[in-house]
Amino acid sequence: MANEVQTITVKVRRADPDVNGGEASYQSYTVPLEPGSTVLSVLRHITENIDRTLSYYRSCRIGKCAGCRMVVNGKTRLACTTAVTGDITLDPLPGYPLIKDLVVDLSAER
Amino acid sequence: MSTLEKTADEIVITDVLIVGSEGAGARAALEASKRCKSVVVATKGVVGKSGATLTADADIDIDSRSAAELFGLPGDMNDSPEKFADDMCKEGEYLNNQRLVTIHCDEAPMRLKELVDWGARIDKLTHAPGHTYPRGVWVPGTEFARVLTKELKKRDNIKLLEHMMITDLLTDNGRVVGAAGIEITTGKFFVIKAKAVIFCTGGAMRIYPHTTAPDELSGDGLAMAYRVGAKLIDMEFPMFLPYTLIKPDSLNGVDFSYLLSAYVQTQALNRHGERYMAKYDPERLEHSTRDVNSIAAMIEVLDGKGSPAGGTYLSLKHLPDNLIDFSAEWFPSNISHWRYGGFNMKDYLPDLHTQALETSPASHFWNGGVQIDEFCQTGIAGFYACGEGTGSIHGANRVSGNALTMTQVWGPRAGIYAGEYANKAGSGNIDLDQVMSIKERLHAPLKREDGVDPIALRKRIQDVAWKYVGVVREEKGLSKGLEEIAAIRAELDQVYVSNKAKRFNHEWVEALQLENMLDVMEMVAEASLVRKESRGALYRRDFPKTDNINWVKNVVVQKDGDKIATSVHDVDLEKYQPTREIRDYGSKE
Repeated sequence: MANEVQTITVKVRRADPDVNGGEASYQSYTVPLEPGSTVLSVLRHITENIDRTLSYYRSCRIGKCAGCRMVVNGKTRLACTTAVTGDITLDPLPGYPLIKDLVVDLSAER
Repeated sequence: MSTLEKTADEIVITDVLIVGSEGAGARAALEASKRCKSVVVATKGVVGKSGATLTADADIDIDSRSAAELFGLPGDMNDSPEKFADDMCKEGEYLNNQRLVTIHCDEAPMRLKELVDWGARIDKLTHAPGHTYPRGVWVPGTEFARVLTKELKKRDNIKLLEHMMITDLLTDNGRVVGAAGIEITTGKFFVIKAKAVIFCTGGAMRIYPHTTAPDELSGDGLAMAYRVGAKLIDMEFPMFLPYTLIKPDSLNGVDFSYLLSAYVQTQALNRHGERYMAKYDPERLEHSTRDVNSIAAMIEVLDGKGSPAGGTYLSLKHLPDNLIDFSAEWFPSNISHWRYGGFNMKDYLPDLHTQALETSPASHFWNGGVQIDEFCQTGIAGFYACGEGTGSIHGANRVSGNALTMTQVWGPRAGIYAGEYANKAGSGNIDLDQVMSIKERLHAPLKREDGVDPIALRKRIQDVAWKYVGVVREEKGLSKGLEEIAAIRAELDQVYVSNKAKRFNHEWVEALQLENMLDVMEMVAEASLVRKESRGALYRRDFPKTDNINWVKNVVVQKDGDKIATSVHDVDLEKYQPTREIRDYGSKE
């Protein structure tokens, strides 16, 4: 079907230190792939339409604040300026204390 | 028995509480920390990784002579702080407080010098429209964030509270004595007791669906100030930037296309393919002012001539392919080679040799806000404000490059005077009943099991703001907007948050922002209704003339029970005066 919306699978590492001793697990979401999708727009789609409990940090959304750094398919990237063209796996930035899901404590960086 | 200790999850005690941590907030903290024992900086985001300052792309204005004398830049020795002030008043259409403008222009060079002494790298000097002389010293916003974060870290008596959403000011017999809020990372309810509070919370650009500003700028500070009875001035002048992207959705509000329109001759087209700017500014066309371009695009959309996404088209297709290709090479560094911010624009835009972009005006800056005097006092004891979200400096419109100057001049001033006040003042009393009622209100959406979706309601607020309180306003639409605001307000007490986790619950943050967005939109609507003319960043379609005989006046709004009281005040035109005439909007004197 030509009109069928193309979808991708987004695998996200989830963990909440308040729940199950902070044990982490991956959760998969099926998300429509819109033209010009970014990792941030995909995350926004998930939290607005699928799962309100998923946490991530963002501010400027134009690649300047660097607050949305995370690991996209094994590489450190900014969520806001990274184009999405297929399935992705998202992990929190390593080496920082985890706050929840994709949010880490960036204050260590100062 | 309830006590403050039992009610609050955490209690913080400080001399000065500063809400907002970037351009203005950091500077306020640095000065306050020299004048009192303890300073707490609370920010909704992360220090150096949030707020409007770092998104500035960006020049900071000082008079051209000082640019030459202090920094060896190719400034014009004929300029002076007085001439800079004159230009500010011209562009602000004489609604600026001239005493404040004089201070602004006098202190700007010294404050930039301090920033450079701390290690800020400055580049060229630019000459932006509205300035008689080149005054824009190029310092990217990210450079402000880097340098100021470094300086904050050096001061032992400045404590940073990140991911802290301040929701309410605490008052004691008319004096502000602290604030309450939620730490987003833990969901903890904080009470911060302070002898003085400074708001550096920025504008409310997020009340609109299209904006160049970061997500967190939902007007919290403006609304909190309003709710404790502060006066807000020039609220009818939110500024819009034309030609920002609306497609793809992921880049909504990105101003790459606006910059394109500044550097090459683009064509703005409506759905009929008409180059509509010929009607609005036949001489300058797409190189007209930001306001006229924004208003023209919006009128086309309102008249049913827009693009599918609700904007207009911006085209380069009339240009030769090799010219388009070459332009990317000579574009200034912030957009060269089709790169912008962190984007490779080629991943996101159609082929500009054959396709037009869909663009729209976007909310860009907040000219009005909390009314302050030269000491950054708000009229409420213990409560100070500075930076974007304070009124009186820019009047009806801001000149290019003056947003950063505002943070660097008024941040320090607020820090100085609030610091001195806190050093002498006694501690106020925290009213437990006040704290308990705030706590209950903040937690109510989490406790409800069913009701209104906060994200759907936020989108409705933005839709109403855009349609009725947006780029083009008129009495009928504003009245309709106020009806919608009342209808939405009636639903606020049914908002429920489906995510019950306390830790980093952004749905909860969205729910807590709704009332702030609504309060701000209502202030804009009421102030716009009062002003029966068009001026600066306000275009009233039903009153399209600029009336310098009757309307060189400020509109002030203030809470009066459940209503907004508006009042109209003459401006003290002690130094710079407009020509007393009624003229076409957008025409120069």
